[in-house]
This record gives sequence, structure tokens and C-alpha cells, in this order.
Amino acid sequence: MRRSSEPLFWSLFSAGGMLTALLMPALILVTGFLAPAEWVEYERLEALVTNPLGRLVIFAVAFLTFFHWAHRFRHVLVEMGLRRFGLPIAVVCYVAALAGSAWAGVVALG
Amino acid sequence: MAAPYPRQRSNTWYLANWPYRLFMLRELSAVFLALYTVLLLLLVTKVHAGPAAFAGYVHTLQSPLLIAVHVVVMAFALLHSVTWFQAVPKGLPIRRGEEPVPPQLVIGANYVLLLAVTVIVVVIVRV
Repeated sequence: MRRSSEPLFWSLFSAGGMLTALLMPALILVTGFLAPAEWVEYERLEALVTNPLGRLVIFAVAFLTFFHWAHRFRHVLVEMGLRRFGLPIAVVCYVAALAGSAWAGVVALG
Repeated sequence: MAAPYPRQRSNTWYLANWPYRLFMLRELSAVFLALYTVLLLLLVTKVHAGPAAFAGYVHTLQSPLLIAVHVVVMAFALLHSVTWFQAVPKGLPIRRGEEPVPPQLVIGANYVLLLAVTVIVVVIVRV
């Protein structure tokens, strides 16, 4: 039996699921509601996105969220009856997550 | 030789009842989290670009469309958090000595952590 890449992608799915479950409501609250209410200070955000740890967190959030999406969406499409296209769906999902992560890397380095 | 047993499941099985629909909504939460991440990265780009660029993006965020988008995204994010916390004790059963830690305690700890993280993030950006 060929070696499976499933454990790797499942680990990324799992890590992304945990991180997003804990962090996303806070981020959405800040960027979707508090920022348009002009409650967020630019200086704080600027300090955050230029801080080395801040850059790492931004990249990690994007990387893990994209791979969490890729794994879940891939399997949901198969559940929806697209089993025949399982391989191309997997390739498209993971490549999209990789491209998104590369963009996130560029953005985080700013 | 007998023909292979045909699959009986329809391609719209997930619309059949609420448990199935909820399952599908839960799985699709990842789509909304990924879309939100794109918005988040755009915001980070604008912050790097300077105060004027950020102010312009804040103006964009004030549009009713984007407020509505964030309401939907928040609903899916909370659905994800709630269902993920429910799954944590199943995926990672914790024992303290011989005694298994009750699932409700593990789930409750996750909610406490969610609240703590939210407070920390809000404090970082403003207070």
C-alpha cells in the first residue's frame, strides 16, 4: 500500500480547526465590527503587524486556516457526490491553500 | 457475476433533514473562515501601507454589504467554535491519573479559553 499523505493534511486540518475555533470570533469582532466603528487604533495595529511575533501569528493563522479549509472542503465535495473527481479536487484544494499561504507570507512580511 | 450494488444515496442527501443540513453548514464553515482570512490579509496589507490606506479600508468596512458579510462570517465562525469544542473530548480524551476527565469539563475549558483569547485580542488593539 502506498504511503498516505492523509495524516499530514489531517494534522493541518486539526491544528487549523483548533486555532480558528479559539481565535476567529475575536478577529472577526475586531476587523469586522470594532474597526468600522472606528474603535480600533491604527498605531496598535501597525505595532502588531510589524512585530516579529505578530508577523508569525498572522502567517500561522492564514496558513492553518487555508489548509483547514482545503481538507474540509475537499472532503465535503466528495460527500456531495463528487467522489469520481476525488484526486483533482484534492490537488486543486491543497494547491489553492498553498498559494494562499504564499500570499500570506508576503503580506505578513509586509 | 452480479452487477455492483448501486449506491442509493442521492446527491442532495444533505438537504433531507436538519441534522444533515447542520452537518453541511458545519463543514462549510471552513469556506467562510477562509474567505474571512482573505479580508484579514487585505486589512494587514492596508495597515502596512500606512494610516491613509488603513482609513480608506475602514471606510470600505463600513459599507452595509461588508457589515452583512461579517455578520454571516461571525455566525459560521461561532458555529465552527461550538461544534469544534464539542468534538475536542472525542478526538482527544484526557485522563487525570486513572480517571477520565469529564467531556463537559474539557468543553467548558475551551469556552473559557475562547473568552480569554477574545479579551486579550480586544485589549491588544485598543485598551
